[in-house]
Amino acid sequence: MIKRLAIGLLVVALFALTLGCAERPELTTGPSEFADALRSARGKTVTFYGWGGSSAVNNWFDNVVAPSLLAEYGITLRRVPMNIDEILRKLATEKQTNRVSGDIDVIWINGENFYAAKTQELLYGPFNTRIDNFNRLIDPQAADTNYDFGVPVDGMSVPLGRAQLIFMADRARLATFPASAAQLLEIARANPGRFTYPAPPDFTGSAFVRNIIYEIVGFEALNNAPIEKAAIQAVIQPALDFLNELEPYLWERGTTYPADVAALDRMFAEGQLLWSMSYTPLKAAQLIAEGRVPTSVETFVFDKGNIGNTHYVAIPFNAPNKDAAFVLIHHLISVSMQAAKLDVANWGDLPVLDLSRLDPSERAILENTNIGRGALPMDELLRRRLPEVQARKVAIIEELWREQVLQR
Amino acid sequence: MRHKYTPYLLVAPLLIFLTLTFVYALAYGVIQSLHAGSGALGGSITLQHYRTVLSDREFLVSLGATISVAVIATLISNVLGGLLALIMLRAGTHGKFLQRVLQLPIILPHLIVVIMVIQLFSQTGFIARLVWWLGLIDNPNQFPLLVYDRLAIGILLVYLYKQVPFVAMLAYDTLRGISGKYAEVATNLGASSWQTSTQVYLPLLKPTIIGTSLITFAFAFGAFEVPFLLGTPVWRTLPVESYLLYTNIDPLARTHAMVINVLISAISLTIAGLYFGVESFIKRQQKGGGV
Repeated sequence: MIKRLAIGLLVVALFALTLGCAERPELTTGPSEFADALRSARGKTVTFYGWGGSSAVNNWFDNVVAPSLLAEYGITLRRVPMNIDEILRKLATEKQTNRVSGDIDVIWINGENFYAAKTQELLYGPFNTRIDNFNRLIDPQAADTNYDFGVPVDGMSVPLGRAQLIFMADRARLATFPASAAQLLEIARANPGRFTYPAPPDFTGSAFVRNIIYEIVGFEALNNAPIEKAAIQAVIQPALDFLNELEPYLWERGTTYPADVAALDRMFAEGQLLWSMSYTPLKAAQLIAEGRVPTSVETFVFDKGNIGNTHYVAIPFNAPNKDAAFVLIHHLISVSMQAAKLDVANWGDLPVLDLSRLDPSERAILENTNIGRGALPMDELLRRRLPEVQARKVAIIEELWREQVLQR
Repeated sequence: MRHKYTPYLLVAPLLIFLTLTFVYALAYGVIQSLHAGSGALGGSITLQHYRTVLSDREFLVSLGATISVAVIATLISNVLGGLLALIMLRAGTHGKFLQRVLQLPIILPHLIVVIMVIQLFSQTGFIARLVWWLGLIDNPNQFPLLVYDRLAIGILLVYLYKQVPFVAMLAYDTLRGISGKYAEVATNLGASSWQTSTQVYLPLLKPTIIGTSLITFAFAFGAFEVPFLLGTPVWRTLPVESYLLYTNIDPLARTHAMVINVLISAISLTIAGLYFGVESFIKRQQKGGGV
């Protein structure tokens, strides 16, 4: 009996295996020409799955992207809010059960989740060069076209937007803004107790610590270090030493740190601190618009640049409407949609387009987009932008900061 | 016809739901914490994760801090709550009014109390502004750090705000239930009011205070949002530590979070067991004629 069951299972497994091989994402399954996709996708509904926790983002998708997609291409956008780990679990189950035609056409993804999806073969592609606007508007040599948090993209996703760490200070209360880590130390020393940063693993505080590492030892050194605690410590030790040197001049003499960036914002808004920071590039404009900080607040970054990350869209291996997915992605990275996304009234997210590829009228659209008061222009931010490293290194750096800076 | 099992059948759906969610979550945590390797279930069982967590300095600091905060909160809230109950008893009819007033802090959610504490006690809060207005300090950094501080004063303030009234209410109920005759006899025999309080009321109050102590300890030990919002990053209570491990990118950290969850559950269940033990002990004493 057991033997028969085992044989039965084996047959099923073999059958599944052959099916699996046949359904490996080969590019023969999607439309071969973008023009074909434009034609066959008309009248279809394209389903987008992604994080739905921000009303600004949801608003951009529902009230800017969806109506224009329908008007220009005759495609209806259906947005389903779902966290990326759940989306990947759903796709992994569908992969295991060989569901050839799924429910999702496009997903919103980056970093470690992209790495997981790519290694588990949950994605369709490489497809990026089949999108018209990708070929026309995006720099194929750009770091984030090719690497997502240190993971090779290999054409399996297309950049949708960019975030970047920025600093904010009030020009009326601080004459000189620190343009480097060394200057930060100098200014903090002259204003003891008026600077600090959120304690990692707070997302923003963690990015700030990496930014200091880039300042002191450079991005390359960290990026080339193996993912191993001792090796990373050896590389970043000068940066940890710098943070310890800075510590006595920080808020509460560095004996404790704000636990999150919200606490930092509050202390900045109350005038207790002279600066705050954010991974949302137009944060100053938002704070000014909310009336929480005076209009003399300005955004700045270090001369050597600030850390930034990019978020992407990808197509699942079993997307039912790959043609409509192509058109949606084409539309998402169009000049008009990227400009609307940059608008502080919509989302305030940086564009992924290569400004040198735009014709003057297109560039004018982006440059005339309302980024609010107190923000840095996008070309200034994009010029001073440093890439992220692998997320597994981030976790190790957070641990080292705790041991070597916080608890020392 | 009403069957004697009818009531049980009627509550069965709720009972099954409660039991399943509780047992499933606990079992899932236990299995994950014992699971060798990461990811899907299956595979062999190991105590390695427990060894790793229990020998981790960060965990031991966290355990010590969590117990300390819970013990301090329990001691202060039960002493103050007990005293408050005695005062309310003395206050006679005013005591009943006080009881009404004390219901307010008990109803308020912890989250609201956290915001109140920040607005009152932070370095830019109401008290700091008052002190600044009086000219005693000239910038916020001179005001002592009472929230997000390493001594957990902010956390304790929230616990005391919630727990002192809770203890006082229960203790007051107990005291009112005790016949005034004992106190009268003591006074007739020449006892001072201090002696009446310490030698008559206090022993009668003991079972209630043991009960409330266990409840306040268990809450302070297992609470997440209060230390998460008001704590210092220098040390973290176990529930906060567990949450941060669970959201860490490293799958092994998730397993360690499960180990901590199982340990928190074990300690809390032990306390619950003690509570029921004390309760049945008290009932037995009362049945047996009591004092």
